[in-house]
Amino acid sequence: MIHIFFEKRLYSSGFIRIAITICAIIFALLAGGVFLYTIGVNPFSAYSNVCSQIFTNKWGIEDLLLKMSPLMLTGISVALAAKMRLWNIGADGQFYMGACAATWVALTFGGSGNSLMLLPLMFLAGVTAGALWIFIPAFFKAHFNVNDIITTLLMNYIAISLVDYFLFGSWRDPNSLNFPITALFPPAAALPMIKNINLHIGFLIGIFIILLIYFFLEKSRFGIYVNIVGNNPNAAQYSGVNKKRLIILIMMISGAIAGLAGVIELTGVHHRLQQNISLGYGYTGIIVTWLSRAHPLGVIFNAFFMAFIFVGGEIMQMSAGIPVAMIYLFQGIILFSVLGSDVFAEYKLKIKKTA
Amino acid sequence: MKVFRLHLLLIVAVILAFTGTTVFGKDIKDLKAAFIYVGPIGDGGWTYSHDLGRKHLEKLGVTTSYIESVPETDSIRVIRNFARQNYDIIFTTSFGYIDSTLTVASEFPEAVFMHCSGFKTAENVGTYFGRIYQAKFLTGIVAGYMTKSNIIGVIGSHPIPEIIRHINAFTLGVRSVNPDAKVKVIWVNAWFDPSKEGAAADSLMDDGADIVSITTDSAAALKAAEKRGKYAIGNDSDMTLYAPSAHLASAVLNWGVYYEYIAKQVAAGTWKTSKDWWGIESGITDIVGFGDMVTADIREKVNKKKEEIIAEKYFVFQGPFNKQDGSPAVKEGEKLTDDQIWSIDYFVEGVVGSLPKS
Amino acid sequence: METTAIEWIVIVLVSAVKMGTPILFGTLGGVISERAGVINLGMEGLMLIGALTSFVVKLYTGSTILAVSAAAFVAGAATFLHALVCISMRASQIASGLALTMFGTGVSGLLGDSLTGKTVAPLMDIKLPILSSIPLIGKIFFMQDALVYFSYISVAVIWYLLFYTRIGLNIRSMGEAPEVCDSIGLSVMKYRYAAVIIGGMMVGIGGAYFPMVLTSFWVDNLTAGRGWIAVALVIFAFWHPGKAMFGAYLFGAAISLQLRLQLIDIKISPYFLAMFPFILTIIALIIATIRNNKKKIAVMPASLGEAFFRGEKH
Repeated sequence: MIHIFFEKRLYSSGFIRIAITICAIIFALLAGGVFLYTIGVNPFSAYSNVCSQIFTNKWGIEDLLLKMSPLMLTGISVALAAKMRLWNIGADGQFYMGACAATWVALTFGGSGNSLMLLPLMFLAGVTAGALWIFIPAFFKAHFNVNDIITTLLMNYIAISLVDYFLFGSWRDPNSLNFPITALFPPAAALPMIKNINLHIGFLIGIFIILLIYFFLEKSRFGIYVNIVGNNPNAAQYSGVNKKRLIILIMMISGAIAGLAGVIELTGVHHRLQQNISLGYGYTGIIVTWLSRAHPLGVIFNAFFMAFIFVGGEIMQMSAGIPVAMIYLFQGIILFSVLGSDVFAEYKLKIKKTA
Repeated sequence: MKVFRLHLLLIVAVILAFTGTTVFGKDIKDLKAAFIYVGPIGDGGWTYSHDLGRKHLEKLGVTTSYIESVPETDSIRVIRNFARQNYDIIFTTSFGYIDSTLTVASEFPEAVFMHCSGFKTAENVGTYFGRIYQAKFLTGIVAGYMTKSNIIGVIGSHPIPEIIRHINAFTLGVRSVNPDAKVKVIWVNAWFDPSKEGAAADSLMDDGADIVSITTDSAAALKAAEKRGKYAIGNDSDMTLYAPSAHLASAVLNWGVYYEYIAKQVAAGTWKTSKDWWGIESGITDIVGFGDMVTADIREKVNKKKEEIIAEKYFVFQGPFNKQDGSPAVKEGEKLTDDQIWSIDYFVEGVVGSLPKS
Repeated sequence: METTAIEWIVIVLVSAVKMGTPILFGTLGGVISERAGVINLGMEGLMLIGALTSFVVKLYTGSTILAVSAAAFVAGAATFLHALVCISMRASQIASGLALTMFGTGVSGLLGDSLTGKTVAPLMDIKLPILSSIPLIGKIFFMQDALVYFSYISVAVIWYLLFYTRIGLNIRSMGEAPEVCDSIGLSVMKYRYAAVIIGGMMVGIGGAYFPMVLTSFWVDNLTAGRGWIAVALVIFAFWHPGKAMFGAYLFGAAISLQLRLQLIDIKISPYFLAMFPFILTIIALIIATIRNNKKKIAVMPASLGEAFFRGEKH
């Protein structure tokens, strides 16, 4: 009989990991190419078209960075929690609630005088709402070990219904024929743009937050606690860390960041609340976190990678008339392949013959 | 609201025929047209009908491109990308694209943007829609004749003016031939949820309805009616194939005629911004697919009404009719203006069902 | 046409069972999979795959049995991808499940492209002798279609298997303490693969319920998010087939009530009705966890979501 099994590598370097990820992407592109070929599209010209459109003009890059902005934040939100072995599957819900609270501020105070304070107030409201939306899961996780995967996931469904309730209720814009969208916010509620590029400063905020979290985790005493609890939950009690408080705090920071992502998307792109304000950014954030092994700097790279898959898919649709279903299929294959490949970074595949 | 009528169309067509499209601008075959869809083409309804229109343009030699399933919240990037690639016309086919269309249009003054079902225009942004409410009115006449229980069900997606307008027109049609009939409305509170639409049809039939009409996209309600031996009326595209034994008729949109007209205007360089709301006379909307159970007599009466509407002797929203609570909406000899029809926010008499307070 | 209050409730419940059945199959699939320690967030994709497969097979063969079997088989095959990636290759179950949903949505949309306008004959209701004459209960539960009856049998079989057989004990142990199972010579791989794939097959049958009974046709995205509801109901059901049944019908009733309350002019916001089951689930989960903490019994599979590799400490 032939036995196939994995054997742990004695050491696993960053180089091996990167090499394997690249192999996985090449594999996925080949597999996807077969699908493209079957529907009569030349995969090589489709791929080169995507790359040339994204990387040879300013627009392609702008588009990519715009799409990347929310993913960096939801990614780092999930990753921070993951550092403590906590799962924040609810980043999508916190994103919605962040946008929802900021909308409330804009609709309530938008008309009144002090326009300089409007944007900061919206950010404050959104960040607070994100943090509060995860409070129930965090509190019960810390004190009673109620499963965080599940409570945070369920909070997403509630958040979306709540936003619908407002959108189809009192927040409908009478000037938009009662369509479920709010009125456009005043210009004071718009996030400033980066000079000379068609990109809001939310992108820079995202990078800044990720670096902040990175230094916080690596350099601060507090970050050391987080790593201790994350690496060995039992050791925590000997090191004098109040584990319960730390869990609640970290989860609420995680929620706050996801809420921040919501406010940025709202004030940077849409300038009004509407349905689907998060296009699954919270869920994609989970994928980003997993691909980067919860490493903050890896989050930047993988947010870029996910954005590339989405934008590339659009370009393929536009230029080669490939149906959107093909794009989903493609994204599924790439993810499976990259996820599956990860194991080879830490393990070797061994084949043994036994009698 | 400026509205193109048939004769205007004819004049334009005649001018084009004499001058030849290449004299003013480019040939229609040199055009590039882009379409942005809110749903998948396979939805069998709204997006499907627009894609039939796109294919019509393709047949005429226009180069077309599309992206399907573009959420409103992601539309600005997609519209911008088409504009950057020098598309001559960009059709954005969902109400929710309203502001992203205007934003991108202001960045690309050379391109023409056509926003479907909206109301905000700019120098290079026009809006368009079909008066499918006229076809809805005609399907209402069919239902009014065919009902035995005098209860007719309608399934609504979300209570927005477009849907309210269609339910009102349908009800006016029903009551124009059968003043005793009532139209019961159920909202599914979803844009797309076929199995829930089927359940809504069941609820209406349990409540006594013997005909179900839809304002949603899927044929689930028609199948539910067929299963019980009741009748149903289709929406957006001809739904005969789904339930031949239940299908009374469908109110449809044929975007092809309009897209052809716009493409020719843009090619000729004569396109100007406008709010187009074409009616049944142009063929953009119609009642089609009469089932065998609809007698020749009824069909003739429907066709006669259609001729009257085309000849502008009859208007769907002409007085007298009342609001749902019995208070008068429009007096004898008057009719609603286009703006009033467009933004209607009340039900007419004969509708049973509620609207959320605004 | 006047109906009494009781008749009205019966009608609501009849349709609650119909609307709840696809969710029930999905939830049962999730229960089996998660009992063995593997979360499946790919249920929406699997339901779509099951729905399309069953529709195509029924269209060409006319046989419901073949159609539903094919749906189970193809959905099981697709679940194999999930199993491979998160059991053998140790990737995150959550990320892999999301990939499966994308894959299922894509593949069903692509292959279902040409089916617009085609329909199949719907499955008719069958009155069960004797049982259907029980007052109220008979009308609600025993005048339904064959797939509903199959769901009852599935609940009973899975209940029995999980809690009263050796195999069931082993499956549950895989979700509680895979290291212990491994040390006593059980193959964690085999059990987990089997549970995940059988679970996926159940989800596929849930998808098949849409074209077989509820709509009779295929359109893109036919299931409209019911797979995600099933993901949540697995938790609502506390990983128990009996409670899965209750949860699925409760959800079906929520849909049915949203529609029928409008006809008797009772105004409850549909958005609150929509979020109600989830609020209830969170509260129930918190209470149960606190209560069980005191009794020191686990409320959920202890190793849920964790990959297992032989000879490694976690």
